[in-house]
Amino acid sequence: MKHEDALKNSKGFEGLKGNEAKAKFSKSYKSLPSRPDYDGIVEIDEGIAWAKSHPNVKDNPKASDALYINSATINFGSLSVDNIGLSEGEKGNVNLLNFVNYTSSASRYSTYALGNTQIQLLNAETGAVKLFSDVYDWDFHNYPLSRRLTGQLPESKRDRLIFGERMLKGLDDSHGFPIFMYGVGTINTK
Amino acid sequence: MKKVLIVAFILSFFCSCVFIRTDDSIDLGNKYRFIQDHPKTIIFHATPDYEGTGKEIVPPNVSAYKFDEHYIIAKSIDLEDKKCKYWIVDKEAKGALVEPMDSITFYQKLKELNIHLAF
Repeated sequence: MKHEDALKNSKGFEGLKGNEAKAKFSKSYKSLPSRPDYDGIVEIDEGIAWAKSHPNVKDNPKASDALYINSATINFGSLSVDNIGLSEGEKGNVNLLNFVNYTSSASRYSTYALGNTQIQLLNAETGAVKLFSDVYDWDFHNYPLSRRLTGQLPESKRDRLIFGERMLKGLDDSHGFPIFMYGVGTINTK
Repeated sequence: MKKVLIVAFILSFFCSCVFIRTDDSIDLGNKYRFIQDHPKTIIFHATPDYEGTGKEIVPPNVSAYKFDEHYIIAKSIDLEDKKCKYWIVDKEAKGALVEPMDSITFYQKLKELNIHLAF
């Protein structure tokens, strides 16, 4: 169901049937400030901790397994209207690593979380962009089981870096979760 | 094995960083690229060399693709409606948008255009 449809059909708190439903709602609502995405930003350690506390959710996640990131908090580094390669209204893909500002923690968190991500340039004058749902994970792209079982490292540079990160942070195939983007981000205009 | 462990240790020491998002997109020729990372998509970049951005030609999620010097064929599962869609990209089109088609139309087009590619 699209978010807009859910809002249209919402009956509000009064529509909850029974005390159990209301209790579940209250419990969920009270837990919000303790979520790592409560401030709209997900730091690297927070993302890793969330993945470890929510294993095996990539294929069948509940809404509460996802993290919700405010696009307005994303630091796009040196990405700009001039270099994004999109006209207003166009959708595309950007690898934030190409634009990261290594001296900015916000830029590093954003790049780590999103990496390659789908993006749409909403307004070329203001730099407004829309981001789309993504997956926060440490997946291999080309590391077949036959290689893993024989103790060989992955062949590609990217997969070797993922291998190293997994070792360093204690991550594996069970770790990864969806991220839902909301709001509007802003890139540089020049 | 010892060498693998040493290399793995060194890699792990340096990897706690954004470099894990290093690009590994596949060059399909004529400035088209397949993004292996989620969301898997096929893009076209206007710059002479790929610089980390591109316009979406086949939207995510691309589940299969093949290419030769003239064409790219792709199959995708739409992220919203979950429908399977088929695409034929003429690499001479310089990033012009492509319309998806159903499987029947797709296989008819492959014959019409004499495209010898298969998933």
